[in-house]
Amino acid sequence: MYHFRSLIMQKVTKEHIEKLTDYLWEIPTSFRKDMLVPARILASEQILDDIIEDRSLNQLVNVATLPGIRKASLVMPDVHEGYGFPIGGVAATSYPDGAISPGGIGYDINCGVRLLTSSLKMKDIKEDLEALGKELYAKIPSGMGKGGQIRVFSEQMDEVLHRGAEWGVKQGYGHKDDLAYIESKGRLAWADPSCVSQMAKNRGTDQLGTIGSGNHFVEVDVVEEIYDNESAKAYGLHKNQIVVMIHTGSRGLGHQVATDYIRIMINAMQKYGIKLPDRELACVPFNSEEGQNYFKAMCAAANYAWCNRQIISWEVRNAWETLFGKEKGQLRLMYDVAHNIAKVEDHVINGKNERVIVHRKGATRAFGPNFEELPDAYIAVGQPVIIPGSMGTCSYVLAGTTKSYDITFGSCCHGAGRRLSRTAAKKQVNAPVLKEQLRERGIFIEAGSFKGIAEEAPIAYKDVNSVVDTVNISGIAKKVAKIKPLVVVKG
Amino acid sequence: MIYEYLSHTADVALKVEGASLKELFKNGLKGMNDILKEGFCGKVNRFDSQMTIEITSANRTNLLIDFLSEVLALTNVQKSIYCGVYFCYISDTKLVAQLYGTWFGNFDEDIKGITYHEAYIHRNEDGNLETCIIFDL
Repeated sequence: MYHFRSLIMQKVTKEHIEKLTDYLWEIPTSFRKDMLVPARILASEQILDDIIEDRSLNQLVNVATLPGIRKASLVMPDVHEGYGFPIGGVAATSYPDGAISPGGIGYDINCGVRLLTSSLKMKDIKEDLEALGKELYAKIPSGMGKGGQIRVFSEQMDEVLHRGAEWGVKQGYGHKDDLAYIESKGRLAWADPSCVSQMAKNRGTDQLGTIGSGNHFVEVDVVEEIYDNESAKAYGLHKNQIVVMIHTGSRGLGHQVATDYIRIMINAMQKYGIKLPDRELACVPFNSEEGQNYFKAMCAAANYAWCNRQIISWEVRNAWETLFGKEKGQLRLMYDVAHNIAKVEDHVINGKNERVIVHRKGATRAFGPNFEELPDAYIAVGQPVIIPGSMGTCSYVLAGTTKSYDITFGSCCHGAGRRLSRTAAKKQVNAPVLKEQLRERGIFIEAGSFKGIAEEAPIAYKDVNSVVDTVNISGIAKKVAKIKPLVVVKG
Repeated sequence: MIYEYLSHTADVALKVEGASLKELFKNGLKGMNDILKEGFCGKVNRFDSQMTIEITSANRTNLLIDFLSEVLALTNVQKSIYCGVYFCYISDTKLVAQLYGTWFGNFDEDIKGITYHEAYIHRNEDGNLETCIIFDL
């Protein structure tokens, strides 16, 4: 048996954890000398018992050692073991001299989810589901190797990196109205394309409008249940409505930005006297030259991701129109949220307003009502939070709350969270059988390979209902609607 | 066994072995290529492209991760899987290598990143160099 290096460290057990409330737990700084703040876990006791099984809490303790970290390192109930940061983690560091860590954002910068709503109901498309799956699969390239239909070079690429979703709209890939319904309006102004390497730009040349592989997908769902009428009405959601969910990120361009800067930071840390328990936590002060360059490159990659999801929406809209015609074929963008990103935000810490750099790795921003960036229709109910489950279960739309500011720096979970490795899932799942079982339940899968289906099988994920119930009861977000998959398109 | 898959919730973990640094790096590349497109290199009978790369890193573990990251980036840009590698020079902190690639259709898997997490080159009980590599998929 191979012994992972991280096993050398003292494993967090339940004895090390203090209960703060029924849904908030803490590993105090006394657990390890190098912790600068406590580590907190948002979970029910049952979920906590599962989380303890892997090494995600040790990784959370490692995050608590980041220079300039404020208040606490945090994980959401969908947390699972990652590399460096756990997936489902949140860390806020002091602005402007606290750490910025590419590992706290992840390789897929601005991986995120968007939801489009239609005017169709279940009865309108019941007979067309299989054809819809094939049409979507034909219109949306996976981009795994061959690339997509769109090519952007030099100045055009810089425009994409500067303008994000706005570039897509300007080129005709969507409506101007879409932009108001995207986190940060689909563009981070700090972006500087000159901080993005040529290799990263080359990797992004032919990947706009592509979903990639892994857990990325385009999914057609039906709204199965409404929990909060006021929020649902504001978001334009109603029972039996057909909606479309898109999950992908910045593709090879973002992966390369992360790779480039983790390498730069590993080499630069010594200069700033930074020592960390894991190289994947590599960081530098935000206001250092390396920190600023990374942040500007990360913003550029985030813009690329928003542009990518904008173009995929255009591809989905094309497929929709082909099948349902112009009149019934309209799809409105409900919202688009990032779950791998760092943002400069103001939060109250120990009663004082502080500017911090919030790292969200597998965590969604979940701001409450009266947040000025939100479109008028959403101001009173808060920011939509989109939580995908797995291909055979269900997903949720939630609304952000003001309580989330106090507990999680305005953050929430991002999905169900993996419970099985891909290798284990492949061993346990017979993909052709699963595809047929899902089809019998009215869920049509179009995928590039059976391997991809097996890796993303429902059994590979935690119970999304428990995860969402936890964030709902803890008050960091409230349930608005449950949606059920009908068609799943994967790379 | 030159490499084997280990169970890791995050993504894919490989244990790689080699009698020398050169062999360890070659086996790491084989493992990565098999994740990208299983069995592809075993069927290759021609090379379509050739590249020379030079990499400098702080130590041999970082050098391996940086080498694989560079090859992965080139694979994506050049649409070639580099099944052939010849090390013109290799030490603990620097390498110069010629890569020989073959054009492919689609990947089986899209590797997002090759992480330093858990990577540590050391001698195992058999006297071989060994490390774990975690790939973010």
